[in-house]
Formats: sequence, structure tokens, C-alpha cells
Amino acid sequence: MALATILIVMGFWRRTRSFWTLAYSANVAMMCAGFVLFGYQLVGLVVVP
Amino acid sequence: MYNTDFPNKADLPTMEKLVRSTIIASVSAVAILVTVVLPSEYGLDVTGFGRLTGLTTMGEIKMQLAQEAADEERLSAQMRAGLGPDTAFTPATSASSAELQQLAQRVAALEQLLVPAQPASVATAPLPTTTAPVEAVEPVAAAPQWRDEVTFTLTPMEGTEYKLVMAAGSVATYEFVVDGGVINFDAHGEGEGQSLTYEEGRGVASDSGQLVPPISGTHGWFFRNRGDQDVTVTLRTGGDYQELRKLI
Repeated sequence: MALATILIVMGFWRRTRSFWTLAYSANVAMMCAGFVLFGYQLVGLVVVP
Repeated sequence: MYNTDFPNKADLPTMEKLVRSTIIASVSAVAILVTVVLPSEYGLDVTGFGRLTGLTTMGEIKMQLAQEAADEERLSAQMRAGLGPDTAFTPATSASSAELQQLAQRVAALEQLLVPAQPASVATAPLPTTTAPVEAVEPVAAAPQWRDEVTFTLTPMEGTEYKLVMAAGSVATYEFVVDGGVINFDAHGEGEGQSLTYEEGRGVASDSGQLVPPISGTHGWFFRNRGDQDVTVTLRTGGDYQELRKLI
């Protein structure tokens, strides 16, 4: 369900003109968020009782 | 499925740019992790930023809750393993007996300090709270409608849990009064593989009512002192239940 919604929204986003200018920085932001979650889980593994 | 044009080779980002972006992403990720996520999730405040924004308190509360959940899990696992209900009284929780003794000594010392501060008439009478809060439930015969009365003192951030062992559909009455502040509580029950929440209260000074659990099991209250002063809570219970138990 979530993925289907994301696909639709992404489809519209790709049609807008700003897509190519934003896509790259959006990707970097996604990577950053991914690293944060990764570190969160990793620390949790060590810290949580 | 065809839904995109392939970009030209010239439009693609260069290797150098990709590497640089990845490094930027990971560096900012580490920064966010250290300043925001670790304080607010685990109470680990390396930079001091978490203390500044109050996020560390959030994380410490989370860690305390996690610790208590783990302890309770262990306790109920023990009970399931057939070690009997009596083991519920020997706290297999975080505090060791040495710590408890130390705590009792500190409470006794505190009370000695407090007693001279009372008016003379009160000071001569034996204080009901001079019995240490670590001791277990004692039945009180004085009030006929109450079968059990228990008084305990909670230091700031401390929590405790009292529960009634009840059969489904039986009725118990209760009241509790907080002396010296307000308290948060969570009235809930467990049994027959279910858990229910009856009532949650924040910053209340007293409460009373009836418990009519729909399932057989243990039903009661978790109390937590979120203030910065010690509070003394007196809990009275009566009605149709098997026993009052201190769980945490």
C-alpha cells in the first residue's frame, strides 16, 4: 500500500520540471536519513538492556 | 515497463561528485545521530546538546522504561516457570539486596531528619510512614471496608506497582492518597494471555473507585513519581480479591 502510494507520487514528481534539480539532493537526504537509522539501530543493539 | 528516458552520459553525476555527496550524507548523519537521536532515544549525551534541549531526559525515561519492561518480562517468565507467586515478593528487579539495604538506611536517616521538623504533637505519635517503604504489604484491621492498606514513598523518577489477584467479574474497591505531591498512575490488568488498560492518570493527588476486571489475573496500579520531591502514597483496597501484591 505504502509503496503503491509512493510510486504514484513519484510518478507525478517526475513530470514536474523541478525533478531533475531536486532529485540528486533528495537522494543525498535519503542516504543521510538511512545512515541515521542505521546508526540508531546499531547503537541500540549495544545499549538496550 | 518503459516509463523513463535514459539520461545522457553527460547528465549523470560524476564519480567524484557521488563520493563527495556520500561523505556529506554520512557526516551529517553522524552529527544528527550524536546530537539528537542518541540523547533522545538512549539518554547518551556526548555533546551536551541533548541536556541543553531536554532530549536527554526523554532518552533517560525511555531507557528506564525499557529496563523496567525487561525486568517485568523476566519476573513474569519466572512466574510462568512455576517458581510460585511468593517469588514475586523477593524483587528480582533492578535493585540487589545490598542496594535495598542501603536505600532503607537512607530512608531511615531521612526520616530522622524529618521527625524533629514535625509539630511536637505529631512527633510524639508514631508516624505511619516510619515503617520503611521497602517493606511489603500489611493488612490493616481498623478500616472494615479496606482489607489491605499499604504506604510507600517514591523518590523522584521512582516507580512501583501493586496488583490485586482477582477472578473475572469480582469487584474490588480502592483508593489512594498522595502526600507531598502528585503522581502518575496506570491502572491495568493482565491475565488469560491478555493485558488491558483501565485508567491512566497524570499529576493526580488522589483517586478512588472500583475494579471489575473482565478477565482473571492480576489487576492493579503502576505508580510513578515524576516530580522532584519525594511523595508518600497510601493505597487502600477492599472487596473481592485474593491478595494484594507488590510487583515492582
